[in-house]
Amino acid sequence: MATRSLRGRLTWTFAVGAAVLSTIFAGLTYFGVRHIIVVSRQASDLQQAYVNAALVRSALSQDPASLPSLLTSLDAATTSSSLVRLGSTWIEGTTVADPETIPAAFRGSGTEVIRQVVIERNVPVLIIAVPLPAVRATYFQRRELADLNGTLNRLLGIVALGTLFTSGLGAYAGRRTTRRALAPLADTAQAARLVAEGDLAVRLPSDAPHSEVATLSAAFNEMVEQLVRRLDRDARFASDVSHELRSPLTTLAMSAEVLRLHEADLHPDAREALSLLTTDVATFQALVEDLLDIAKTDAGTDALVNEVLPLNELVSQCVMSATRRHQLPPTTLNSELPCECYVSVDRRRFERVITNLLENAYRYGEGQVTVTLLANDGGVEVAVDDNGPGIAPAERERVFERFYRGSGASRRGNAHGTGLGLALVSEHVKRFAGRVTITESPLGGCRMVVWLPTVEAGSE
Amino acid sequence: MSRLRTPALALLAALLLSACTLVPTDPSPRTVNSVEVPSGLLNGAGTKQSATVSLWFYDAEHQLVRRTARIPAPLTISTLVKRLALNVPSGLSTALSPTIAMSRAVVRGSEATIFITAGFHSGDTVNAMAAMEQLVATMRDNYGIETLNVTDVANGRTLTIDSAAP
Repeated sequence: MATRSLRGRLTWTFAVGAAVLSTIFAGLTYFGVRHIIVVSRQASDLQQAYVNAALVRSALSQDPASLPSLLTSLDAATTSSSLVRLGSTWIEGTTVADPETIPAAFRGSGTEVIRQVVIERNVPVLIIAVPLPAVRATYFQRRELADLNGTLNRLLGIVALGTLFTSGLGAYAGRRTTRRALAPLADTAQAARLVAEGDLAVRLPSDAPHSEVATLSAAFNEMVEQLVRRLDRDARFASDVSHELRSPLTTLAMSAEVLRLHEADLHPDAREALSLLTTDVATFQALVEDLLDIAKTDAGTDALVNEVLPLNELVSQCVMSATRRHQLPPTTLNSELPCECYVSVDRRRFERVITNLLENAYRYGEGQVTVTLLANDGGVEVAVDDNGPGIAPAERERVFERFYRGSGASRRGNAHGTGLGLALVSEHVKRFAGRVTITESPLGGCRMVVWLPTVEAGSE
Repeated sequence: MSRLRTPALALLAALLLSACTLVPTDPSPRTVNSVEVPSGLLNGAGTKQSATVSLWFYDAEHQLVRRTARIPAPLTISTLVKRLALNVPSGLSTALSPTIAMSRAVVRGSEATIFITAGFHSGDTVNAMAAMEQLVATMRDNYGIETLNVTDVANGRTLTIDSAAP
C-alpha cells in the first residue's frame, strides 16, 4: 500500500476519530431511545391487557355467551388479538388469532401474569397471558410490533445518516485544519528546495514570534545563514589561496619556459624532469584558474556580459579557439539546426564551457569527438560526443559536483583534470538559464548536452 | 487474508445493523411483578361456583327439547358435551355416545370447532347428524354459536352444521 502523506494521514485520523465518536454517540442514542420506546410500548400493552382481562372476567361471570362478541370487539378496538382459554376450550376474538401461535410455555395453569416477545414470520410479537382465577380462565393477548420495528428502522436510518454526515464533516474539518497547520511545512520544503538549487537569498517569514512554526522558521533561517557564511568563507579562502598561488606559479612557469629555451643543452635526465615540471605547472595553473573562476562565481563578483549571438558561428569560433589554444585534435562540427538560432550568453564563459567539454571528451574518450547543434524543447542543444567508455547513469548527476571522482574516472582514461571543469560548465550554463545533461552517445561513449533557450536576433 | 477481511467486516456490520433494527426478543417468558398488576385481577374473589345452562335432548318423537341445568363453573364446551352425553333426563335421549371425548374446542366469533378424539362415528351419517343438531342447539344457547364444525381427529373428517337447522 502506498504511504500516505502527513496531511492524508491527519485527515484520515480526523475522519476516523469523528466516525468513532459519532458511532459511539449514535449507538448510545439509538439503544437508549429504543429501550425507552420498547419499555413504554410494552407497559402500554400490559395496561391494555389488564383492562381487557377484567372485561373478559366480567363477561364470563355474567354472560359467557357474550364472550366471543366481546373478544371480537376488543380486537377491533385495540388492533390486538385476544384469546381466552377455558380448560380445553379456546375462545378467539378474530380469525387472526390462533391457539397454535401461543407458545407452549404459556399454556400451563400459571398464577402470574407473563409476557414474552417472540419472532413470528420475521415480525416481533408481544404475547401477554393474564390468569383469571375467579372464572378459571386465562386471557391471552397477541400484539404484533411491526410498527415498532418500522419506527426503530427509521430511527436507525436517521442515526446512521447523522453518523455518516458527522464523519464526512470530520474529514472536511481535518482537511481544512491540516491544510492550514501544514502550510508552514510546505513553505519550508519549498524554501529548502530553492536553497538546494542555489538560491541562498531565500528565507522563511517569522511573523508569529512565539509559535512552533516561528521556531522552525528561525532554525531554518539560521541554518541558511550559517550555510551562506560557510560558503562565503570557503569561496573567499579559495579565492585568496588562488590569488596567492598565481604569482609564484607564473614565475615558476616563466622559469620553466626559460629552461625550455635551453633544453638542448640539458642532460637527458634533466630534459625529462623539465618536461614533467612543465606539464605539472600547466596543470597547476589550470587548477588555480578554475578555482579563481569558481570562487568568483560563488561570490557573485564576476558580472555576466551577455550578448545575443548566432549559435552556429559562436560554437564554430569556440571550437577553433579551444583547438588552437589547447592543442586539441581537429573536431567535427555538425549543425542540424533548421535555421540560424540566437542565444544570449557571456562569450568568454561560453567559450570556457565548450573548451571544458572538448577537453573532457578528448581526455576520457578514444580520440573521436564531434560537436552537433540541434533544435529541441524550444531551445537549442550543443551536444559533444566521444567514443570513450561513457558514464554510468547513476553518476551522471554527480560528475558535475566539484572534485567528484566517479568510479569510471580511472577507467575512462589515464589523464586527469582539475576536477572542476564540469562543475564550471554546470555553473556557467545555469547562469545562461540553460541546463547540462549526459546521455548515451551514438559514438558509443557519452554525450554531454548543453541546452540553451533561444532568443530573437537583436534582442537584449 | 486482507482480501477476505473487508467482506467479513461488511457482513458483520450488516448483521449487527439488522440485529439492531429488531425489537429485542425474550428467550423465555418473563413474569410481571404481581405488585404491578391491578389489585383483584389475579385473586379468586367472587369466583362463580356454578352456572345455569341450556341443554338440548331428544324426546320420544325424536324432537329436540330444551332443558336447563346448573353445572359447576367454568362453563366449557367440554363440560357441556360430557353433560349431554352422560346426564340424560328421564324420558329423553341423547345422540351422543357416552364414550365421547374431545381434545379441544375453539370458538371464533359465532363459529365453533370441536375436535373429537373418541365416541363420534362420522361415518354413521344419521347418528352423526343427530348428535350435531343436539350440539349446535346447545352451543347456540350458551355461546351464541351459529355454525358448528365437528372434526373427527381419528380420520380428519369435519362435519359442519348451522344452528338454523334444528
